[in-house]
This record gives sequence, C-alpha cells and structure tokens, in this order.
Amino acid sequence: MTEPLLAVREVHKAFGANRALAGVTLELYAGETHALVGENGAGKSTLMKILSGAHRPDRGSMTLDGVPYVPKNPRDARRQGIAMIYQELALASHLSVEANVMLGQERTARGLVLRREHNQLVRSALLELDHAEIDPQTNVHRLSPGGMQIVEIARALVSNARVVILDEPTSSLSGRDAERLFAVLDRLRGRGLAIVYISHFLEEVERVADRVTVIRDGATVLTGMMESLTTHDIIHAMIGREPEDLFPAIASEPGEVVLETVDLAGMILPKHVDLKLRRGEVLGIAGLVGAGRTELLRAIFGLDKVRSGLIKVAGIATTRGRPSDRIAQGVGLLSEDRKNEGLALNLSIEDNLTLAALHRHARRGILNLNARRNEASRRLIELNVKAAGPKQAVVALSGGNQQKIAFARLLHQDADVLLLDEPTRGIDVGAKAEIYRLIRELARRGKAVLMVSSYLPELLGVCDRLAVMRKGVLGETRPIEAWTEHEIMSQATLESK
Amino acid sequence: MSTDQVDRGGGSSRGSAAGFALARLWSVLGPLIGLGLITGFFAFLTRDSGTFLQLATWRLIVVQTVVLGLAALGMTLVMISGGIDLAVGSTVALVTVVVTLAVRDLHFPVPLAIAAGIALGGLCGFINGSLITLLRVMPFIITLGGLKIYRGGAKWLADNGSVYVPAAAKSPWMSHVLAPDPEPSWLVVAPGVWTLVVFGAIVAFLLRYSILGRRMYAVGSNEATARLCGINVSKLKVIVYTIAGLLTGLAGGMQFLDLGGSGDPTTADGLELQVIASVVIGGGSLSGGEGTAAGTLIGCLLISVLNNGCVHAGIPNASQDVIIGAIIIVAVTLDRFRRAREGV
Repeated sequence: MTEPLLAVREVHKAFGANRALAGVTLELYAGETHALVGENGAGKSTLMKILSGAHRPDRGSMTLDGVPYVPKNPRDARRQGIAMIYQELALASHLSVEANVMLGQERTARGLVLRREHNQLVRSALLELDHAEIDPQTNVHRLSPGGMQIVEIARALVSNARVVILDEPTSSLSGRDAERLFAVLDRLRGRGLAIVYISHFLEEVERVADRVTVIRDGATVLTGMMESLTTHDIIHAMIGREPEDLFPAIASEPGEVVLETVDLAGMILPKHVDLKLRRGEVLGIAGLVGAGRTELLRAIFGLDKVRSGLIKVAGIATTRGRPSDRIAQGVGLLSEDRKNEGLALNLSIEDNLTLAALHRHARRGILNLNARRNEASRRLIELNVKAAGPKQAVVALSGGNQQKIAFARLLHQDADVLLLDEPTRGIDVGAKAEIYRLIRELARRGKAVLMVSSYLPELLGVCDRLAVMRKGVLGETRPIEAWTEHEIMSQATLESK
Repeated sequence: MSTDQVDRGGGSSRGSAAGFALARLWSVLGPLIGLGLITGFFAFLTRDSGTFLQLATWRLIVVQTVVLGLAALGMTLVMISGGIDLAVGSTVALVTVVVTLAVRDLHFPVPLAIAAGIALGGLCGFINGSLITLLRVMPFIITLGGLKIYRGGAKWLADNGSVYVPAAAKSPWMSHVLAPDPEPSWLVVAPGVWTLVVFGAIVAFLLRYSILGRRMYAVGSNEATARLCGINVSKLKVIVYTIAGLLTGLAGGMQFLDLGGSGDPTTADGLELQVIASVVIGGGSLSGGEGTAAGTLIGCLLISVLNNGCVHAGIPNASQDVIIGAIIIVAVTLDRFRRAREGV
C-alpha cells in the first residue's frame, strides 16, 4: 500500500494516575473506511480528542500526509482537514441548514457575508452527498436525525476535510436513514477521503468498513482487513477472552399470565397490541425505530396516555394507570434513555436506586437512612457494580455501571413484571453479558420480562418468545426457535399481505 | 464497612469514598469559611472601635436574619425541586398589610391575625404552584407575575400607604419577639431567632430524612426520572410551593412585628433577590437538585453580616451592593471549580 494519509504511532496519554492511552497505533489511508472499535473506556474517545486537537499526547507521534501533525486546538485540527462528527450533534437548531454548514467558515468580502456563494457551496455539498432534497434555508430542527447528520457531513465537505471521524453515527438513526448514511460514506470514500467509523454495532462495522482497528485498555490489539476477520475475532480482541458465554443458557419454566393487553392503543402509537406475558419468560419485541415499541412500554406503565383497550396486570384489568399504580402492582420500566430519563445523574447511587420504592425504608414518611444505605450496598455487590460506594454520584460511573443502577432500581422495587427498553444500549460487551445473565436469572426466578431491542442477536439470544411490531401493530408471537434475523427484518419492514 | 465491601471493583475508590464525605462537609463548610473570612474582614476594618465582635452586635445581626432566613428556607425547598419564587418580597408585604388589617378592621387578636397571615402566605404559594403545573409555564414567569400581583394587592388593600395596628390592640410581647436583648435574658438571642433555628432544623430534617425531601431532590435533579419512579411531579410541586409560601407567610408575620405592628405595601422590596442569593451562596443551584437548610442559613447570616459590617465600617450603601454582588459571583464560581475537580 501507499503511505498512510494519517498515521498515529504508539500514542500515550495519562490523566493524573489514570492511563487512558498506552500505545495506540492507527494507520488511515485515503479512500478507506476504517472502523475503530473497543469497549467503553478502552480509549476511543481519548484518541478522538487527541486527533481533534482537544488533548495533546504525552508520547508518540502523529503524521498527516507524511508531515508531523500537531494540532494546537480543535479549530486548528479542522483547518488541517480533520473533521469530527460527535454522537451528540453540534448544530444550532434554530438556524438554517446553510447557516449551520457555513458556521465558522463563512466566506466574506469586506466584512460582509457572501450569501450567494454560501448557498452555492451548500447546494453543491448536499448534491455531492445525494441529499439535494434538503433545502439550505430549512431550519435544522425540522430535519430528521439523519438529515442533521448530513448537515454535519456537508460542513466537513465545505471545509475540505480529508479525514472524517464519526462517533456512533447510527445511534439515533432509523434503519432507512442508516442505509442512506452508509451510501453517503461510500461516496466520500470514493472521493478519496478517509473515514474513521466508531461503533458498538459490529454488524454495521462489517457492512461499512474496509479495515478495522480494535483497541483495548488504551492500546491497539488488532488491526486488519475486514474481509479476513470474523465477528468472533473482533469480539475476542475487544474483550480479551472468548465470547462464547455472552448469552447464558439459563432455562426457566413459564408460569401463569401476569401481563396481558387487549387491543391496546395509545394516543398516536401503538395502534393495536394484544400480548400475553407469562411468569418465567422473556418476551422480545423487535421492530424498526418508530414502530411504537417504546410507546407500548410507556403506555403499559402509565407514562403515556392510553386511548383504548385493556391492560391486565395479575388479572386486574384497567385502561389507565399512573406509574405509581403500576409500581404498586409490581411493574417496573427500564427507560431507553438512561441519561435524560432513566437516572438522575447528579444524585447519589442510593437515591437513584431506591427512588421508586422509598417507602420500603420508611415509617410514616421518615426514612431509615442506614437501612437504605445497607440495602444499596448489597445491590451494588449483587450486580457487581464498580463504584466507590452508595453515596457516589451516578454521573461518575461508566455507562455499563449506570445501566446496572437503573436495573437495580427495578430489583429494589421488587418488580414482578419488568419492561425493558433497549436494556444494553450504549454499554460495552462485558456489561452486556452481565445484563443478559441477569435477565435470564430473573426469568428463572419467576419474573416476567418484556424486552424491546433493536439489536437482533440479543433478542434471539435472550428471549423465549418474540413478536415483531410494525407501524404500531404487534404481530404474532412465536417461540424464539421459529425466528431468524432475516425473518424478523422482513416482518418489520415489509407490507403485510 | 459497607463501602469496603463494594470497593473490590473500583481502583482508588477508598480515597474517593472519603472524598464524598469531604464533599458533603464542604457544602456547609465552604459557606462557613466564607462567613468566617467576611467576619474577620470587618473585625479588621473596625478594629479601632472594636464593636464588631461584641455580643450586642451579633444579637442584632441574628435578629436581622430572621425574615430573610425564614423566606430563604422556603426558597431552598423551591430551588431544590427545580423552581424559583420571585414573589417572596411581595408576599411578605401583602402579609404585613393583611395581618394589620385583620387586627384593625376585623378585630382579630394579633396571634390569630399572624396565623391568618401565614395561611395567606401558604395560599399565595399554593396559587403559584398550581398555576405553574396547570399552565405549564416556567416558574420564573408565573412568580414574576405573582411579584406584581401580590405587591399590587397589598397596595390596593392598604390604599397605597402604611397601615397601623391601633395602640389598644398591641401587647408587649410583640416587641419582644425580635428584640436584640431578649426577655428573659437566658434566651441569649431573640425568640424570633429561636423560631428561625427551629424551622431551620425542621427543614433540614425534612430534606434529609423524609420521603418528601428525597423526592424534592429527585424532581429538581431530573423530572423525567422522578415520573418514571412513580412520583406525582405536579402534586409535589404544589406541595413544595405551598410549604415555601407558609414559611414566607411566617416571614411576613415577623416583618409585621419588626415594623412595630404595622403593614407596609412597599416593604421587603427586592427581598426575593437577597433570598435567592442566600440559597445560592449556601450551595443551592438554579438548575435544581441541590441545596441544604444549613447552607442556606449560613448564606443568610453572611448577607446580614455584610449589611451590618458595612454600616459598622461606614461603607456607603452603594458599595454594599457591589460587595454582595461580588460575593455571589465568587461563591458560585468557587463551587463550579470544586465540582469540575471532582468530575461531578
């Protein structure tokens, strides 16, 4: 091969005593899509911050086009042709597409903005990205998440970026938008740009990447052509051990029906849902983003309004119930949005863990703080949470440990029916394995689990039965053996006969 | 012991466990150190007269903290649960007027009139809370409206001037409640100050040990999480504003006594900003989820010391405002630095 466009060699970086990077090597060639994978905390984001000029390496070298690359700050990195597109998009939502693309790179003459040239540049960039239908004058907040991402990429194009780094770009996209994004990435690659693609989804990585680099504990442990590697190789490199026990085979005995919905409809979604959930089983719900799966869980739990239909919990039928009623009935909901809804990040672990059932540690409204703390400590051990203690603020924990706290709250409230919405979103493989084990263990103990996920392998690996939701309607529930990924996707996407 | 057990996963967690204890302590210790520094500063400025560190001065300072402190305890609850109440000063003024009129025109005995004033404060808070939750408008806007409405109501009821309790209805205890030299002398400080201390303890207990208190922190920290955990957020907010209103009503009752048994529709103008400043200096946050009763009371005391110290040192009124403003900015900035260091 020719010289790499961007080369990172043996880069080290420490924050105080914490060694974030301990020898990362990454070679990036023009015209390739290079996947960067690793567990949370492996050092991906530190590497990104060094590439984008936010941090400086302690040791090691970086070259861009054979010349030493030492960005002074993010602005300098961008000027030299390195564009970062973060998971949380950095757009001014009240401004137009054009204004956003040109922000910080305005073309001016005598202090005045050249609007016509701006319009020209933005139009041609959008055309280049095969998104000519986006009007440069539209307000950004009116675009879909996919459209917003295109605006960020257009900004990189206008700035003549040579390297585009995307951090978890599909995490907020629907399947269709993700497909369009992949096509856009192919175009960029065709133009000779180098793309760094960071993702947790190995299926996606296989779909888009030419090469892959795996980092673990701050060091590069594997790099190679995608076609010569298997998923097994990559997971093995990521977690440093054999991945065979990702989905534990813990059998459970289905019992009586504890949750039933009859022709349930929400205000917009879902439209029609009949389901029966038994003790001791994990029932999976697959479907596209926007099919109404999250809305179904929220309607059952009483967070969203129910238009019509019945919800029977342990045989008692109601149409409406508030979350407090559902909690009293033994229903618990794990939110898909850990940061904005699932947890009060600034509060302590013990506050978050016990919030749904504070009365368990109280007499006449007055808490026994010691009993509460001891219980929280016990839960931390039970779920193997890495934390300094129950008084620590949740925000200081890693994603996987945060998710365990959200999960622990359902255990603490002693929920019999667990509604899990994307229970492993944004957490690393090690923590995923622990969550899967926990779900199976709960089923074995006679709990009923209703699990929504967009990650098909985990649905197939964890659930006993599964149904597909499409446009607000839940399809037929079948035993898990009767499903394949292909079958699920075709039910989720195709018009029914 | 329990922290040791969960330590096994985390590396340097022992040190950080101690760190949390320190951080908690710091939330009260920080304002306390500030208070000490300010006191030392004024003691130094007035070292020639030597009056600043005398008991008499401090008896006066604590008496001057009573109205501010009671209102600030209410505001602490409101701000912890993520709200704000700009109508505090106006509510106090309205209460002084209504208490006076209840005695003068309705011939209520003074204690009953004050009780009615406290209830009125609670009603104002209940109205604020109900409007905020029913109309789904930001607390800032609703209570800004309340600020004008309650003040206007007070002026209207009092016919734009001060109103007075007839001399025949006055009793000696009225002037004792906030007398710097208390009667009997074993009280050391005025009964009004003890009232503030008792309510401070009640609020502190409520926040730390009650389900209601923990829920206030939860709602202020993240409303969506609170809802997910089955908390009726609207109901809780109405309760919080009502409790805060009752405390503000009590502050109004104290202000009525401080005015020598009269009502003044222009009194306590801008009190809300001093109250908010006290809560913020004491570790409260405008974005909710934080604050303590002890921190707030220290913040109040700090502001009283400033006001009083400036008088002692002969610093003009305008400079006092500048100093208070600077202290608010310094206190909050220091707090931000501390947080950034802890990575919270």
